Amino acid sequence: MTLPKPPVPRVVGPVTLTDFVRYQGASGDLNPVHHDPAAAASAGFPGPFAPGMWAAGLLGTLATDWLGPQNVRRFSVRFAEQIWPGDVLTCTAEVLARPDGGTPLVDVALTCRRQTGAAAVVATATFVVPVEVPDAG
Amino acid sequence: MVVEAGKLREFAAATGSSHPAYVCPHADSSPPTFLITKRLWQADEDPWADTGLDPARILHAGEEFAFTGPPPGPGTTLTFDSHIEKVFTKRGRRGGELTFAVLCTEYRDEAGALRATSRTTVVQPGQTPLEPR
Repeated sequence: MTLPKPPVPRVVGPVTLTDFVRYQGASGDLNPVHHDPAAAASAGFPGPFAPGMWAAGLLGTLATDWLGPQNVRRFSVRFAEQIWPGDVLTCTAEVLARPDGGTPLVDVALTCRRQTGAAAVVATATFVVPVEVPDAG
Repeated sequence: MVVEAGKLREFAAATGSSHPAYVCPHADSSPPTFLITKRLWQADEDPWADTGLDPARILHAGEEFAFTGPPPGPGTTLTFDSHIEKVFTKRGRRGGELTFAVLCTEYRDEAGALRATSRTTVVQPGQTPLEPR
C-alpha cells in the first residue's frame, strides 16, 4: 500500500503575538502568559511565549492535510522548549513505521523546530492508511 | 460541547489548515487537537484541585488525543467527563523534584458512544535542593 509522499516542511513565521492571540481566542485558553508581558514576567519568563497547543495544532493539521482528516486515530504531543515572538518555525512530518501486509495503520513523527534548530514541540500520530481506489480499466 | 462550523473554521485558520473537511460549507471533520476547545464548555473550576498542585505554577507538559473512528464533525454534541488518572514524581535534570499529573477526559456522542479520549499532562517544578550559600 503506498502512502502519499510526506509534505514539504511547513515554515511558519516570524511568529507574532497576534498568532498566539488568534489561537487563544479559537481555543478558549486565555492564559495571559501568552500575550501579556507583565503576566509573563510575574510567572518568571522574559516575555510572552507561544501556547504549546498552538504549535501542536500546526503539527496536527500538517499531518491531516497529508494523510486525511478522517484518518487520524491518535495524536500525542510533548512540549520540549518555549517558542518566542520572532521565531521562525519549521514543521516536518515523516513516516515512523510503515504498514506491512495486514495492518491498516501507520505511525508518523511530527516536529516543530525553532530557527535555532531546537525541537520545541514533538508529536507522534497514528493514522489509518488512506485507501487508494483502484482504477477501473 | 457542540462541534460547530464557525468554531471549526476559526480553529483551522489559527492552526494553519484550510482543508475543506474543516472549512467548507460541507465540513465533516475536526482537527486532531480540536477537542482542546472543550474549555469553552466547562465550568471554571480547577481540574487539578484534587492533586494538590498549584494552578499558578503548573506547566503544560503534553497532550494526547485518541479517536475511536473519524474525528467528530460539525453538528456532533459530545458530553465529556474528566478524572485525574495519575500523579507521579520524577527527578529533574537539575536535581529538583518534578510532580506530574495526568487528567483523562472521555468524550461521548448523543448515542452514548465513546468518540475520543484525551490525556492532559501537567508538570509542577519543585524546589531545587541546592540553595545558594
